[in-house]
Amino acid sequence: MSSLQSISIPTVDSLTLDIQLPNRLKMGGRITHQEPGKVLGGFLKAVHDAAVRESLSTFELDVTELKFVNSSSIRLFLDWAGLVKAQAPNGYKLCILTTRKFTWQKTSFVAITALAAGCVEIRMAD
Amino acid sequence: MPGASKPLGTQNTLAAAKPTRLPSASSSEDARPARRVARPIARLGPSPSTLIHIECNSGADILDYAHTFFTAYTEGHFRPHVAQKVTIAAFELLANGLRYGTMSDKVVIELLQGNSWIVVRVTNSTIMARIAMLTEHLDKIQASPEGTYVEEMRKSLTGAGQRGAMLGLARVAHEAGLEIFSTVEGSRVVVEACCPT
Repeated sequence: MSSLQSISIPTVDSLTLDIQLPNRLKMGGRITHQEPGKVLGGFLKAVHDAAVRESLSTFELDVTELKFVNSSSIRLFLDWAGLVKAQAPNGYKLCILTTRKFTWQKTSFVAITALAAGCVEIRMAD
Repeated sequence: MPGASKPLGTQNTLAAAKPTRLPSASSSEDARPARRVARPIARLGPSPSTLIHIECNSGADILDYAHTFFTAYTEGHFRPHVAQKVTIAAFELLANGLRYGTMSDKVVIELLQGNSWIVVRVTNSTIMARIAMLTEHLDKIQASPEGTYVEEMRKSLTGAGQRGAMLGLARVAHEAGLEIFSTVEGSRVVVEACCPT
């Protein structure tokens, strides 16, 4: 059984989380929680740890249905990028699948990619 | 340019107040010409409409509801990309007001429209140290929206600085591409973001 399957998925209002084997997390809805790290930080760390444990070469984060996140939540992705960067060059590459539909995604993820160059990349779904 | 500002509703005093530039710690910033010269209120023309006026308590847990409300409202009234920008501005400015506002005073969020502009305005009271921090940060944002945005992200990534402090405002300027203005009168601060329709 994959380590990803054993991760407990938190319940967060307005947000959907779906782990899709072998190497994908799909997020949908929105995150407006004032302290998202408290409810999602542990979950995303667990996903990262599982990806490392499984020796994955890439992990895909699909945010094409993620309509909005607040600035505090952008830090969740930054933290994740930081974890991936810390594993380099022996870890996995985080591929973020984005959409042009939502304005916030382009600027946020481009900046994150620049800060974790070589470890995080963006793919456009449309 | 207070003479060009049009007093509006209950915000007369604030609307007419002169944009304040607090002393900066950096001499190079002092030397830079003041950029806050054309307040959004002046762009709205002689008869702006108040589309939304909401008062809430500082610290209130209403952000999720507010996002739902602003998304529905803006999507129903503006073009899609304008709606997203206005929603980002409304959410982040309100979050900022709720986070830093003095508990004894209300946080007010307004959406104003006139000519070809929409203004998101958040008014709250806070302590002078916060006002000084806000003013300094807005100076940085106005000088370089993208640079400040990336710098705030870098601070988060490295754990430096105060997490959660100012990325929201940088986001409004860079991500939504809006100009941000502030006006200070005593402990009352007004932050406005200006969006072309």
